[in-house]
Parts: sequence; C-alpha cells; structure tokens
Amino acid sequence: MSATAARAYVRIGTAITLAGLVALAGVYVVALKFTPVELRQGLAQKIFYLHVPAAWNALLAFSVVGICGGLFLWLNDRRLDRLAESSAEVGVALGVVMLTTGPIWAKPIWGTWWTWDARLTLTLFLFFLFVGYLALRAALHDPSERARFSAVVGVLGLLLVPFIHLSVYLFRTLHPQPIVLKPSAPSLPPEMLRTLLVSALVFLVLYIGLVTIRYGVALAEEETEGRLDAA
Amino acid sequence: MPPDNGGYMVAAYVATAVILLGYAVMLMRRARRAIERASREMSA
Repeated sequence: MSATAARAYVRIGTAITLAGLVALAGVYVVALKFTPVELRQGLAQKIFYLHVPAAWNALLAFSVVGICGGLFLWLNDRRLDRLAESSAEVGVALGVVMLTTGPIWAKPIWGTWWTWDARLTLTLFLFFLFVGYLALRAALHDPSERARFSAVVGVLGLLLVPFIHLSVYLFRTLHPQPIVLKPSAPSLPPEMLRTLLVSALVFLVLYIGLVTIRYGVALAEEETEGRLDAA
Repeated sequence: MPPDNGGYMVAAYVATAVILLGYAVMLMRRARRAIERASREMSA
C-alpha cells in the first residue's frame, strides 16, 4: 500500500519538478535577455533574480518544518513528520543556492565575498541548524524518538525566521533592506519586479515538486524500515 | 556606464542550475531505489 502511495507521490512530484526546471530555464531567458541592466551594479544585479527567490523559499521551507514540528508535537501525526523531513531537506538545497549566489553577488558589489554582519550570520546559523536537523534524523533509529526530537529542533529553527527578516532593521548591516516584503510599496522598477516575482513563483513550484518527491521517498523508506524491524 | 562584472552573474546562474538540477536528479534516483526496495520487501 505504502509503496503504491510512494510511487504516486514520486510520479506527481517528478512532473511538477520537471515543469519547474523548464520554467526556471524560462526565468533565465527573461532575466538575462529581457530585464534591463541596473546602472550602478551592472550585470551582477541580475544575481538578485535567483538569490532572493531561493532565500524566500528556503525560509518558507524552514518555516514549514517548524510549523509541522509544532503540529506533530500536538497531534502526533506521522504525515506531519514526513512533511517536515521533506521540507527540511529541500530547504537545505535552496539554502545552498542562497549561500552560493549571495557571496558571488557580494564580491563585485561590496568588494568582499562575506562579512559577519547580523543578517548573513543569522542566515548561516539557520542553515547549519537545519543541516544539524537532518544529521539528527539520520542518527536516531527509533521513528517516534526521531520525530519528537527533530520536531523540537524544527520549532527552534522557526523562531529564527522572523529575526532574520527583521535583522536589517534591528542591526546595522551591509545587507540591502527589503525591497518587496515591507510595509510600503515595492521599490523596484516594474520590469525588474515582474521578473523577481515570476522567479519566486518558479522556485515555489520547484519547492513543491521536490518536497512531493521527497515525501514519497520518506513513505517508501518507512515501509522498508517497518518490514525490516518486524522481521 | 555600468561596471563590467558579467562573469560573476554567469557564475551565479551556472552554480544555481548545477545545484538545483543535481539535487533533483539525485532525489529522483533515490526515489526509484527506495520504491524498488519497498516493493521487494512487500513481495518477500
């Protein structure tokens, strides 16, 4: 039964992911060919169309882990644990994109690959926290213990997310202020805003597709684990 | 005149494609293996 359900999740997730990857190729064309070059930052500014959507979706993924973790501790539903596990892994992959493209943008614009300011340091800390979350899951064999312990770590990670968003207001930081997710209207020319929002949507599609595949993997692995334990 | 820093842009776009495509392929292969194993366990 679980193997059949896992196969269905993987099939649907693969279709969504492939659609997302094709759409991402479209974002590359729109961003590189049809979006104007920013005069002060030059072509490096176009990194923004990948870095920001990756960051938004990584934070969304880590928030889902925390919310599912909290709900799991309350409802004790295995589906929530599976979703949290899947979202954490995809969030880490998106985090790698965010932490790779950020320094590549920073070098020509700030003159340095990295600086230990509040926004960057908190983001790196959050990333390592979820790498630790995955390591913790891999280290624990008992499924209910694994689900409970990792749910607590997920909830703690969720507490960091609003701090990261507000860190540019709370601390003196080199990182640019929010230009879209802020109380006033977005401060970006319409062509650039359109490309950014389309890219964010495509990254969201990729996130959903990858999480769906990963959920299928978790189902299949649980099935095998359960049968091996019963044997 | 905008600064000449197109190389950084190319590097970021290539890195993003490699990371996302690499992860997607790895996950799909892992899914296939996990389902094959679960099916084997079920039929055993």
